[in-house]
Amino acid sequence: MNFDADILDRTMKEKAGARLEMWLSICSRCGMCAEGCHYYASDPRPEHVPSYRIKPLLDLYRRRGKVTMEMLETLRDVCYGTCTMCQRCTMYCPHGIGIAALVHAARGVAAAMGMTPSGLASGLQNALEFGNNLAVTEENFVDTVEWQLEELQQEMPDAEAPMDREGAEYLLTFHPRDIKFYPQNLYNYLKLYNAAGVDFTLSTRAWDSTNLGLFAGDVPAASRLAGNVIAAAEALKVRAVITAE
Amino acid sequence: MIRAVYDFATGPMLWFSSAFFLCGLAYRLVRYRVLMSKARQGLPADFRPGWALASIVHFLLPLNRTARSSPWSTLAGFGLHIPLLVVGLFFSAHVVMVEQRFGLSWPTIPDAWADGLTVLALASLAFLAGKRLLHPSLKGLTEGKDLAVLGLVALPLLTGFAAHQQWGESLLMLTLHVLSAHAVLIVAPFTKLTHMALFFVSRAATGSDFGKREVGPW
Repeated sequence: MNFDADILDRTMKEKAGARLEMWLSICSRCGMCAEGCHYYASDPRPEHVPSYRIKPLLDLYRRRGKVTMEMLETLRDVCYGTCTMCQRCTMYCPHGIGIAALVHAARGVAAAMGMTPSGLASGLQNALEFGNNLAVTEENFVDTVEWQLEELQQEMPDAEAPMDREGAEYLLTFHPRDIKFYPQNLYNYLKLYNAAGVDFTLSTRAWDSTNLGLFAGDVPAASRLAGNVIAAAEALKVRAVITAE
Repeated sequence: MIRAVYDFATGPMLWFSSAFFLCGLAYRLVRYRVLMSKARQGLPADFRPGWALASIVHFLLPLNRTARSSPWSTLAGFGLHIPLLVVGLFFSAHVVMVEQRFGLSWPTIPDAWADGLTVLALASLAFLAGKRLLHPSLKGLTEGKDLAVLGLVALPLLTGFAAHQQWGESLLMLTLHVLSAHAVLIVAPFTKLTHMALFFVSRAATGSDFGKREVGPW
């Protein structure tokens, strides 16, 4: 399999900021970060030491111009497969190296090369197309909210779930999984916010709290998805957005 | 012959290495600054100096979770860095040399301390190298370079200690000591040793980042 060397070169140049350069050059691979890693805690292999995760990226910069497909595949497998970007390793690193930021940059390289893992890529495509990563239509979303609200009103007659209400204090967003597969969770959220007397609204356009663009390392897609929510929040004039999970 | 090398190494070369070392580190810092301001153009300033400073302090002192999770490595880290600084800057022979070449002077530590601290530093280096070679997970991560840097730092310590103890031929030891110290100064800006300057930058950056979420990265 071949890849576009120009895109790779351009992306690597784009990603090579001040911090990436600094962090790649000062990591001594002392391995103290391992203590913070849940991958390492459950399976203590050298590949699960967080500083190992930046090695494929470092190799890419070291062998600039002579990168092979194999190196890119390793980069993809390591950076998508052995890190959740939780940043606990940074809290153990004596230098405070942002390994998650480097993993994010590495994913950005893989994404630019069209190497995003397929499950993630299709979720991201859904999000860009439908505004949520599980491709729930607006009609389905509204139906689900109404259904759960009716259920809730049996228990809490005054409960409400205002949709697109301008001037509310908070805009609530959800994990699409809670809408599509676990509506009971939506029920509980609504119950909680109603019981707490919070002044909130939902949005028919922007209710997905996840950002698979960010997770995939695809910065343009991440900005677009975040932009959806920001636009809705500004149009509804809310004070803050509450994100789930 | 050795005398000529020694005179050169403690004379003109001292100026060269010190200048190269300082300019090299300054270059790294300025480069960071320039790249950073280019990337942040048009973005609102959001640096948190208080959190940045706290982040540096928590790791200059063993006030962090790493000190608890990796106590031996932390001990070795301090056992290496404190002697390097204290002996490097305050050992009588070093101060005398700086006074002769650059005309500056400051107080010194007793020579016996320097011996003890050097042994501590070498023991710490041995521990760190041993951990790299023997620890089941670190073994796979270690590159030749990582050990080379440890070895390079050990050289001036070993030769300096030997010279002070008058082991072997004293002038030869001293010459090797000065030459290996030059080597450390010259490679410092372009190897992992750059952390002597960038440690502060990296800790500050991460401290500020975590601080925005009201969490200390320590």
